[in-house]
Amino acid sequence: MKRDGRLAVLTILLAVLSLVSLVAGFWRYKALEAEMSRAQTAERRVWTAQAPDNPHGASHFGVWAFRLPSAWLAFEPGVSQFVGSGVFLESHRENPALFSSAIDDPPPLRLSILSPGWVLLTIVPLLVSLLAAHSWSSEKDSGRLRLLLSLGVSPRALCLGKIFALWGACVVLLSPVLLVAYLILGGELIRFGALMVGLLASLGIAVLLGTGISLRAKNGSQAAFRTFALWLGFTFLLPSALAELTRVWYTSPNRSAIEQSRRDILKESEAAHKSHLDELQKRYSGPALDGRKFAANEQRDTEVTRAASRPTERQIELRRRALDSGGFLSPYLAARQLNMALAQSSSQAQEHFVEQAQDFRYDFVQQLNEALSSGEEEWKAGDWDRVRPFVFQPQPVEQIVREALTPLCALGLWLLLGFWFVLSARFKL
Amino acid sequence: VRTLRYEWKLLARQGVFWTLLILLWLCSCAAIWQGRLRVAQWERRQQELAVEETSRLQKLAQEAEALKADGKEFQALKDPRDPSEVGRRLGTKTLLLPSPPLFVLSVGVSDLWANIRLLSTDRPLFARENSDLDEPEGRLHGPMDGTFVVIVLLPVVLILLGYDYWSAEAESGRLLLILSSTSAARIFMTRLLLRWFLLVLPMLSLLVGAAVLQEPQALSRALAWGVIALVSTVPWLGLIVWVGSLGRSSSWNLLVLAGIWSLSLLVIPGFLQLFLSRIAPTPSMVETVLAVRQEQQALTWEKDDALKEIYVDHPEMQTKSPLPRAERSRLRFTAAERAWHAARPKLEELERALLVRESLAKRWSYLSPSLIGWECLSHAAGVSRHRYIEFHSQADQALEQWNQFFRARVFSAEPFHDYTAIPSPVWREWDWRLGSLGKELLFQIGLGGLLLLLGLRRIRKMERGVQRVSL
Repeated sequence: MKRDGRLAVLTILLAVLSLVSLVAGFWRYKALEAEMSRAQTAERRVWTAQAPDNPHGASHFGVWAFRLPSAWLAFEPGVSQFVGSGVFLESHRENPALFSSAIDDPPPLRLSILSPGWVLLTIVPLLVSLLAAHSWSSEKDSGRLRLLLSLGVSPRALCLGKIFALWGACVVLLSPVLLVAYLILGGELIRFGALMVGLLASLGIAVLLGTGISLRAKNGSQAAFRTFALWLGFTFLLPSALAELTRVWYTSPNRSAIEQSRRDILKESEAAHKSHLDELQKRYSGPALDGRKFAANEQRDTEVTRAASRPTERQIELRRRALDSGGFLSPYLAARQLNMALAQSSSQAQEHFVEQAQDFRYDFVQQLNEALSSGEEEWKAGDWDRVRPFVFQPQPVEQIVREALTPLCALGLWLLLGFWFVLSARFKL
Repeated sequence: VRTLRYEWKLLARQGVFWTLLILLWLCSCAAIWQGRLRVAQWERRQQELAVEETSRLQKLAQEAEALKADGKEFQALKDPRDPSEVGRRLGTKTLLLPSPPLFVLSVGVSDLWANIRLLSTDRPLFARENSDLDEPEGRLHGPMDGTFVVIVLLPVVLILLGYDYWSAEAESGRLLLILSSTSAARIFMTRLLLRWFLLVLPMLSLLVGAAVLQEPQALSRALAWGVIALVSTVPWLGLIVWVGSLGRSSSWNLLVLAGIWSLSLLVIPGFLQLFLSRIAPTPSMVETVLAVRQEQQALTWEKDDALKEIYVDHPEMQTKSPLPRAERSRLRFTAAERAWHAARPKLEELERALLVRESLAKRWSYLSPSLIGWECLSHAAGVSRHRYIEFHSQADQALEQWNQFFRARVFSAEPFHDYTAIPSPVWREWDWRLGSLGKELLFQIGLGGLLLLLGLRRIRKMERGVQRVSL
């Protein structure tokens, strides 16, 4: 393998691509982090510098909640570019997250976002599997294999030797990039360890599948043909087809349908709510009544909105489960899901942010309504500081690990399948 | 004809060809099926919105008439006679973008950009994004549409079927025999063209036919789309001929062609995105938010001044209001206008920056045939960004018209009854011509033709060399 010129080409290609993607990812992350920090600080300034106002009026003025990116986005941006990073929080309504960055990019550029995660899971497996396919078939095509076997070398040992040599070489070649990534990502050992396991597994799978195909192919050309076709299927065809199929299987209602269902639920609970308000009217008056009425309305609006969105959430959950199981159909999908889970750039991580923002919204609005209930008709300068700022809390490690478990299992199964694929082949000369 | 018949017999026995052909057909059928579902979903949603809007406005008009007849007092927030509430919330309308002419074939940016705009005096500022509850993973992996089949899959299938057109003969020992005849170039070209025709033409006919069945008025566009798709395969054909003619081994050819395909589709776009974001940065939307927030905050301090400012320009609007909360409505209206005017320069700057980035992307896309093909197909299908920018610009004009209509009514605070007079803007279709893509198409044909000629020249040269030796 050392004499093979292709390894040198692979080294240079990998080094250039990985380093450029790492720099690109880091730039992107730094720009986003600076923007979000600035926005959060400015938003807080706007909130605390309000003119004297009625607390409920201020809840309509609202606040923006921004998601501070994690350094891991530099490694794997995942779906973060397709989802919003800011939510406007106001009373009576749950707004969607806005400002996805993909909208500003020309459409054809969507397939490839230069990041280390993308390079290591898309380009590297292609190169490695083609190299693996070539390393066995070139021995066979040139007749060296016959010579080697005549010396008493076991074909299985030779094959495994080739597999582990290439696998090891890839790891050694990628280690400087991974070391730099480790330093950038802030040295979180557990998460980085899981990332490394996933990466090692996906490289191993590429090597095993490439070798297994070449063991079964008539010649080098056929092996390369099959390897390329398989990579294409795993990396493009299957993920795209699966995403489309799950969209059809689990259709979620659009916003106007949810709004309609919200209106229906509101109508159903109208009488009970009205009697509750009448009750309040009998017991309280003035701002104490207003505050309690606003609080009751807010509670009902939030409950109704959540009840109306529940069927959609169920559909989304089912669709996500189906997509997650896609890791058992394609090792690329499993490895990408693992990376996204670890980098918190998956759709679950986005939901975590939106849920957190909406919970904050409810507390913030009710805090203002309670202030009104307790007779504070006007908040002045200094009072605004009583509302705590929104600070995004990343997913807890247990949740990340739970999310990462399915793709890790899928990668483990793929590795086993890869070994079986190689070992079950008949060594043809 | 004899060569053609011979090649056909060879092809008929080649299982790989038929497998790939079936796979490509299956993918095309899946893309059409998905496309039809997308169109149906889009139209159903727009229909639902239109029905809901009509019934809501009719109901409001009836309620307003009934309240007028009864002479009832105004009810806060839900009175259909309150012009402020009608223009803001109760009587809102939507400007709908009809489904793109060839949506069945291409998704383009339609899953990212909003195709519905709410007309309200609250003036929703950040409305260009599609915030529908789609699974973002679907966006990440790219939709499987006609464009995906033509740009991603078709070149791969062409490569897989043609990479060894020369080397396979060399490796089997038949090459010298073929080259010693006077028709080597004809044999190779017949082989490749036959595969190309059998793969490309029926598949494109299927896609174009499905688009015409779905949208019969879009016949010319669908044909143009088919022509663009056909042209976008020419560079790949040229490349296969040229790489094969270099006389290297089959695996080498496949590696090089697969490498060029990855470069064209994955690596160059990735680098280009990085490059464009550095040389043509777009202003951040968050900055726009902050500009609006600062304006809103300033307004909390200048409530009275803001109203006075308007009364200086429109003294006729300063009336004693018969409505409760009339002052509040005026203030709300003014606040929305001021926020809009604070955001406008930033949003216009963003639109300008997007167009600059778009034109730069167009210039640099000559680095990759896949990028050019994708861009041209999206344009022809009506799912390019230009149509959406036009839609949002028309929506902004409609909002201006909407506000003008309600401004006088909000400030005069007269009870509102004239529901039939509420503006109903209609989308004016964005003009598109195939000629606008002439340069890109010529480039594709030129590149493909050049590579084809270079390849053919090499084949002829070798053919002549072998014939000279045998003589």
